[in-house]
Amino acid sequence: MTRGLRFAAAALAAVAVAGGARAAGDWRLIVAFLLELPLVTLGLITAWRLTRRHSPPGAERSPVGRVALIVSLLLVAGQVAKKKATYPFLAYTMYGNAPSQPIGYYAYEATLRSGERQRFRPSKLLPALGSARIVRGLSRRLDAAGCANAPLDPSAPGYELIVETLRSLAALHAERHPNAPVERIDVIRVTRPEGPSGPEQRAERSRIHVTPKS
Amino acid sequence: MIYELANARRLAATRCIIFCIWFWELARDPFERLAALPPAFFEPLGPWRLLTPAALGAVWNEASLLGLRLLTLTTLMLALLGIGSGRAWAGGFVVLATTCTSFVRGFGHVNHAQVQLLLVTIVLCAAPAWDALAVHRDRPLGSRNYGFSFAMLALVFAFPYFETGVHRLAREGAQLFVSDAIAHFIVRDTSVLDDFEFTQGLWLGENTWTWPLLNLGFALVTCAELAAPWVHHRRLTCLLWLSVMLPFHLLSPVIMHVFFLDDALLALLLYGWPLSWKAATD
Repeated sequence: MTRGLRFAAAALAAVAVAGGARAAGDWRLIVAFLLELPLVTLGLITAWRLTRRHSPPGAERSPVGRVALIVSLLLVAGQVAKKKATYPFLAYTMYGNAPSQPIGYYAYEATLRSGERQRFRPSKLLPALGSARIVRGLSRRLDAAGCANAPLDPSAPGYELIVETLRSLAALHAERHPNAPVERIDVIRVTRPEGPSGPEQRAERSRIHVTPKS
Repeated sequence: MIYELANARRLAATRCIIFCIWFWELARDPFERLAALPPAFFEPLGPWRLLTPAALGAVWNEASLLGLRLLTLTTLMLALLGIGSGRAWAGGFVVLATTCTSFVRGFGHVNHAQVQLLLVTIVLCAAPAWDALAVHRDRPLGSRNYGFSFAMLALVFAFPYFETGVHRLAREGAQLFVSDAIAHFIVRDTSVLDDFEFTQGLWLGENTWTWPLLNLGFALVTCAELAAPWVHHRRLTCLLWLSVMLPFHLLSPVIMHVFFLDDALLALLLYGWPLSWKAATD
């Protein structure tokens, strides 16, 4: 084992302690963690060794070999830590947790100045807002304001921020569609209580007037 | 290994393509317009966590963010063309690209789009990728192993796939592939994510007879993810891997509203293109 890999093992042991402490209290997380750490480490070691075997002697000590090893170790650490603070060395957990709740989300319906109603899609305003970013950001705040189960209460925490954000999004929409500005955005809670094949249930949560400032 | 015919020009061409993907990503996205959103909505990530509220307030305007984007694009062009020290410009670009990509993630979900591209770019900075196709070429010092550099790019690109597969199995085991989990994910993402307007995901959810096929595809993709760090050692495994992962990447926007175009392009660049190589001289 190279010196780098020994260092990696020590670093991973340290991360393991931190990860174990984080997962304490949820036995499934602990079991997953105990399986995941050795498997990921073993994967890195075997992938690295196989590549080394097919490469000229000393290639792993080249700058590109060293940097790739460091990046790989940081990836392992990020996988174990499961914190977004480690960006860009994030945990890869996509579609890895069995669904525990029925499908539920917020839809936004815009009423244009012309009176026409259409689905308001914040992700399509800018590429930077897409890929689940703004919709999940809004959803988190609406959940925190208790909107999942009840109409949005103006005295709820974060209400002003939600309204201000929707107004800013409406202003971005007006820039792109100057002839069809949005007057009002309705926040609708959509659920599928019977699972993915069941019907949708829709409940209006709030009507927010968002007329762009002139 | 599929990179036995790698050479300076091919690695340099890979550098150019990677920076062209970045150019497309950054040039089409005027993220400085996000300054129109309330700062309180922003949750700092990456380098942005280092800023004090006052410093964040000072740069929270369209001009500063446009400056950041233009600086990033300029650095990118210098690294792409290899003007001066291409490697140094690439290092600077990695820092700036991390800053830009973490900024947009501060407005909600910290997703993985562009992240594998960023990881591959970090490794590219240390590779002898400026030995050709550059205005100012690096002077090769001794023997350069271009094949090994490709293998390192592939390892770093593939490792996140492997981690995804391991997490899935460690967390839920095989149970995940015999449940309605993937149908749930497909309907959920088709409903929640509004980047696309395809409705095929909802149709798959409503027609339960398709679920065994979805589970089979889910298991197949997970197997490919688990094999990812090793596939570049044989042409056949590489072909098999591409035959699973490319359709997956191309279908995912249609049935799940999730599209990682960068990853599909990187898979073609690091696995598909080398399969077509014939012996050539520098």
